[in-house]
Amino acid sequence: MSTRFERRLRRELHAARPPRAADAERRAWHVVRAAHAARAPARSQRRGRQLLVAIATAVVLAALALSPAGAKVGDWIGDVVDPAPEATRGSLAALPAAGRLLVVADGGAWIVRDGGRRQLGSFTDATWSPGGLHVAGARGRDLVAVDPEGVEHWTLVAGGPVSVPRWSPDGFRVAYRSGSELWVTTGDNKDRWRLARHSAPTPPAWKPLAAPASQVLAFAVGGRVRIVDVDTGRVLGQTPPGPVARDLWWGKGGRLVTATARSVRIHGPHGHLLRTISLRSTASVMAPGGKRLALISRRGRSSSLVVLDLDGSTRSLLSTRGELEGLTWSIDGTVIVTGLPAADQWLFVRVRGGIEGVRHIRRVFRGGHEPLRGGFPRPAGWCWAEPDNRTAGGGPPCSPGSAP
Amino acid sequence: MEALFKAHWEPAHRAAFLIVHDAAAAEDIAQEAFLAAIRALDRFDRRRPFGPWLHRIVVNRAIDWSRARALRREVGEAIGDQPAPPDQPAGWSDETIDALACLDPDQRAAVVLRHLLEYTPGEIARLLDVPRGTVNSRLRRALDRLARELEA
Repeated sequence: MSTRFERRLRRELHAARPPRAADAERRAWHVVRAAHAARAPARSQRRGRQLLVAIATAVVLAALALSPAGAKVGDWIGDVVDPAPEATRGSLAALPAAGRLLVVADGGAWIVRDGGRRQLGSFTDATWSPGGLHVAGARGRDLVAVDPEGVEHWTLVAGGPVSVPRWSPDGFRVAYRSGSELWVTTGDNKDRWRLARHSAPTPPAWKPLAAPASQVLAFAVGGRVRIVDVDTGRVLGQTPPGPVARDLWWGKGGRLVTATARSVRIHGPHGHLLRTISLRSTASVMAPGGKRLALISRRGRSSSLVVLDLDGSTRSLLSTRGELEGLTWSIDGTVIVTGLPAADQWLFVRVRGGIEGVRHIRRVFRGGHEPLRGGFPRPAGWCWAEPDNRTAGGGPPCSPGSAP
Repeated sequence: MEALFKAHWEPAHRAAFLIVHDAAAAEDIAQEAFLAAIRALDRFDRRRPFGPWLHRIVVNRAIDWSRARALRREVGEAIGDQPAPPDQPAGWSDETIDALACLDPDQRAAVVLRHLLEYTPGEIARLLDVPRGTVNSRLRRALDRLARELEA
């Protein structure tokens, strides 16, 4: 038998791909993930007990880390933040809730987890993949996929500066802006296509998965938000005209929530307006579960962290004389982290009460003595500590961060 | 599970497709193989590699499906039905797929295991639970047939 023939055969076998392979993979993953989640309760209980021990240990360590200097800063924070933080500590040795925090700071992205942090690369914006296995980062005209160790898996070279990358809930698509155009690439960077020529700089929002799986994306074009099936290009709906949305979120029940500087609007699944809530804000982020929206509300030189229940009520969790920047929910929806640049602190705010501050945030993410060139380090998303937790817990995969 | 899926889905799906030559069936077979793997995960000896375990399920189910389709085709042709043409994969030559279709399912499986998934004849014998000599015989006949079809 000719070995040349075998080599040719091997090449052809390796080159062949089944028709519509990407769609088949996506459908299969939905089924496999659901099946795996259905069998995982015993493992999640074990992990739950381990997590409780880890959190208890972290609380003890945080208490021991308080120093006289820390107490002074704590007093100052108590003057400007109401209610005052119960404790402030000088390190991010442990997060107050489970998981890993994605941070964008000074042109770089980091992952923070209990016990340490790791720089992923020089990115101006970043987003978790739904399982937390990867991060998509914007770097000049590049969209880059890296793993949590910072190893680059693929790089897409776009036609213009890349911004606001957002990974789809099933991990098979990444939406991003290239200049003012909105594009979508497959999760493995094997294909890409343009969705819109002139999109607003608002981060697009993927609709949480519904069966049968389809890839639905909401994005702002001028004063409207368009809702599109990205694979077919079919426009499924759009909102009435209005101010350009700063933030877009999908809430429970398929509701589309848009936030502008002066109001929060709640729309139906196809964009028809249901309610308008007058609420000035500078940032917002949807809680896991899609029922509550955290917002930074600014009045003069004061800021408040507010939680808006989509069904009605509004509650202020804290107010401060400084400006708050950046928001992310913990993946269990119990903690919100926000930055207070004037104090060089992050505030971890428990929704049920209690605030913990972490000092020297600039130093933590700069690592040197030079002042930061960019903005204050911004939490850009909170994900599970281990990807399997996503399916075992049955909850949303990762919690996003507020818009840059 | 996500890491396992991402590492093993594509080769399993491709192997199923090359044996059955039907996109929908290949998807079902590969998906069902993963579901079977999940059901048996607690019994799986984690010191052993996952790939061969999964491939065994994929290939056996693909062979079974192909045999069942052959039977349906014989019945269908007897009453005038025409079998659907095989789905064309991307980046594939028509000659090679026609030639593969001429093989019987066991021979296709042997070719896919040997030249796509790169198992040795001994490993294939263990996967398919047949004697090594049988594997060698199937490979030889399959490659002879493919060579005749493709180099004619």
